[in-house]
Amino acid sequence: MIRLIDVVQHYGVRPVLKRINLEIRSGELTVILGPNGMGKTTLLATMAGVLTPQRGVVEIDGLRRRSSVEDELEIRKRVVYLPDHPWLPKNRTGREFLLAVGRLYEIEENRLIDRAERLLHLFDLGREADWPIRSYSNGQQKKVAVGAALITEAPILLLDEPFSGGLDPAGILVLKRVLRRLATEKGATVVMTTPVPELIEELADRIVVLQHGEVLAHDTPEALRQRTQCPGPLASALEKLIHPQTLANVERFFHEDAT
Amino acid sequence: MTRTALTWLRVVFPPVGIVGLMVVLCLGTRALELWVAHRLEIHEKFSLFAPFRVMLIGVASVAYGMYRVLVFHPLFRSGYRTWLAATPWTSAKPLPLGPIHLVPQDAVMLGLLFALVHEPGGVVEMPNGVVVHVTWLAPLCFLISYLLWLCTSFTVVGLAVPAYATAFGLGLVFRLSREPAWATGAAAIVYLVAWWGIRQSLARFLWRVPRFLDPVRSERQGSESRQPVLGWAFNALQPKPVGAGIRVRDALAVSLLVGWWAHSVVALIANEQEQREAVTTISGFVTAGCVLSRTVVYCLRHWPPISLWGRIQTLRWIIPGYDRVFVAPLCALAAGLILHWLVAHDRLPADIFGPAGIAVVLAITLGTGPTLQQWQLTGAHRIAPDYLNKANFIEL
Repeated sequence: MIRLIDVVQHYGVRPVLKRINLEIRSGELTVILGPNGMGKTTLLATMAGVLTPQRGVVEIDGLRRRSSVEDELEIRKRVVYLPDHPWLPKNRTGREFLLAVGRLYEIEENRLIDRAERLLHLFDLGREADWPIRSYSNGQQKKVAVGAALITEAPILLLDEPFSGGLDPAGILVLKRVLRRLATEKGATVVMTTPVPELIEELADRIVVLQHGEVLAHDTPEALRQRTQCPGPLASALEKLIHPQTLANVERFFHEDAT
Repeated sequence: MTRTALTWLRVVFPPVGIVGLMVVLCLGTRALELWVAHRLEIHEKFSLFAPFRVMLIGVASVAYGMYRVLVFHPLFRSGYRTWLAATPWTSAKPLPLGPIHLVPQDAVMLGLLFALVHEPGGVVEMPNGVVVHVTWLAPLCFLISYLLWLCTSFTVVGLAVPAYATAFGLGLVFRLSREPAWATGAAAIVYLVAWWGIRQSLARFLWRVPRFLDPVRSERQGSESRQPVLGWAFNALQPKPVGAGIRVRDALAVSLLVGWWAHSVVALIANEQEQREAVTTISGFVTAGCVLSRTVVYCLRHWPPISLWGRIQTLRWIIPGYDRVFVAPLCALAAGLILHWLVAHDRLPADIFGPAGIAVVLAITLGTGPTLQQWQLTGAHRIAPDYLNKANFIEL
C-alpha cells in the first residue's frame, strides 16, 4: 500500500502538489491523470523517492520514505520506478541491460536469464536482443526500458507515461495486458501516469485526477461516470471532470453561432 | 663449497645481471677516480663520482626493498597466488619461491651495497649541499621501501592494525632521518611489527584481492566495467547499499596518520620561516581539497529540494534536512582557516600545529556525519541523474 499524507511539493515558489492525501491499495492498478503541468510526474517521483516532499510523508507498505537507511533500502527493494525520460546505456545490449537491472534486484541468476529472454520476445526484441541499445528505434528503446522495470519483479511499479515514447500498437497492447495481469494475478500495485484518458478505459481499477496540484478525484471508473453523469465512454466523463470550462467554451461557441 | 654458498645466496638474490651492472658502475667509477688521481698526482681524498654512487646505491636499495616484497609475496603475483591456492600449502610452511621476511641473505646483499658506496669518513656531500651518511644509506633506503610495500600488502588484505602500525612507524623513521642511525634502528623496530603482519596476512591466504591485482578478472571485466550498465533512474534508486564510505575509526586513524607524516616531513626543514611557509601552503591545499571534494561527492547528484530563489521567496533560508550536508565542510573550513591563521601569524609552532590542523580538517571531512550512505538514503534532497556521465547514455 502507498500512502501520501499532507504532501506538499514545490521546486521554487509555485506549489506543484498541495496537501495531497492519497491511499493506493495493494494489487490495484491506479492511473494518475491530468493535463500537462498539473503535477503527475512530481507526484509519481515523490512516491518513488526521487523527490522529498517539503511537507508531509510518503509511506510504502507502512515504511516511511527516507526515515532510516534500513527502511529506505527495504522500500527500494519493493518499488521500481520508470521515469518518463529514462536513460539507457547506449553501448550495452538490451539483454545486458535487462540482466544488470535484474541483478540489482537480486533475481536468481537462472530465473533472471530465462525472464530476460521471455521479456525480449514478449516485446518482439528477440532479434535485437544482442545489439547495442543505440541501434534501437525509439519505440524499441521504450520497450527495453519497460522490460527493465518488469524484470525486477518488484511488487510496486511506478511508471511515468509508459505508453508514450513511440510504442507501436503491438507494444501498447502487450503492455496493457501485462500490467493488467500483474495487478490481477500477481497482486502487483501499479501506479502510472498518462495524459491520454482513452488508454485507461479497460485498464484502471482507480483513477486519480490531478488538477492544479490537488486531487480532484480518486475513484473507480464507474464511480467517476456516476459522479459526472456520463454513462458513456470513460473519456467523456473524464473530459467533463477535467476540462469543464473547455467543453463549456465549445458549447458557447456553437450556440452563439446558431443564434 | 662455492656452489653451496651460491645456492644459499640465490634464495632471495636479485637477477645477477642487474647486480653485476651496479657493481661494474661503482667499481668503474672508483677505478676512474684512482686513475685520474694518479695522473694528476692528487694525494688527498678524491671522490669525484661519490654523489653518483650515492644516488645509484640509494635507488638500488629502494628497488631491492620493492623487489623483496613484490616478487616474493603471492599477493602481488597472480600466477604464483593461483598456483599456491592449488597446492596443499599453508602458512605454517615456508613459501615455495622464497621468504617475504628478512633472511641472512638480505644482510649479504645490503653488505654488498654498503661496500660499493662506502667512503672514508662515512659522509658524502651532494651537489645541492646535502650531506649523506653513506654508512646507513643502503639499510635505511631498503627498509623504508620494504616496509612501505609491506604496509601496502597489509592494507590490501584488510589487516588494519599492522597496516596502521607500520605506516605510523614509517612516519617515525622519516622524523628521525636526520639521525640515520636512529632512523635505521626505528625501521628495524617497525620491521618487528611488519614481521607479525606478514604472519597474519599469510595466515589469511586466500585473500579477496582487488581487481587491479587480478589480471585475468581485470582483463575479462575491464572493458565491460568501463561502460556503465545502468541508467537513470535504476542507478540512483538501486536497492543495494551504495557507497558506504569510511568508518569513523578509519577516518580518525587516516587523519592522524596524514598529520603525523606531515609533521615528520615538515620537521626535516631546518629553517623556521621555510617550515612555516611549507606548512601553511600544504594546509591550505588540504583544507581547500577536503571542503571541495566532500561537497562535490555529497551534492553532485543530490540537489536541494527547492531552488535558491524559492528559498529566498518562501523565507526558508535553512532547510535542516538538506543543509546538514554543509555542516562538515563548513566546520573543516573553519578549523583549517583558524589553524592556518594562527600558524601563519606565528602564534603557534608550525611543525606541530600545522600538521595537527591538517589532521583535524581531514578528520572532520572523513569522519563526521552524515555518512555518504545515510545522506543518499535519508537526506531531504532531490535525486538528479548523473549528468557527468551522460555521454554514455541515451535519454528517451
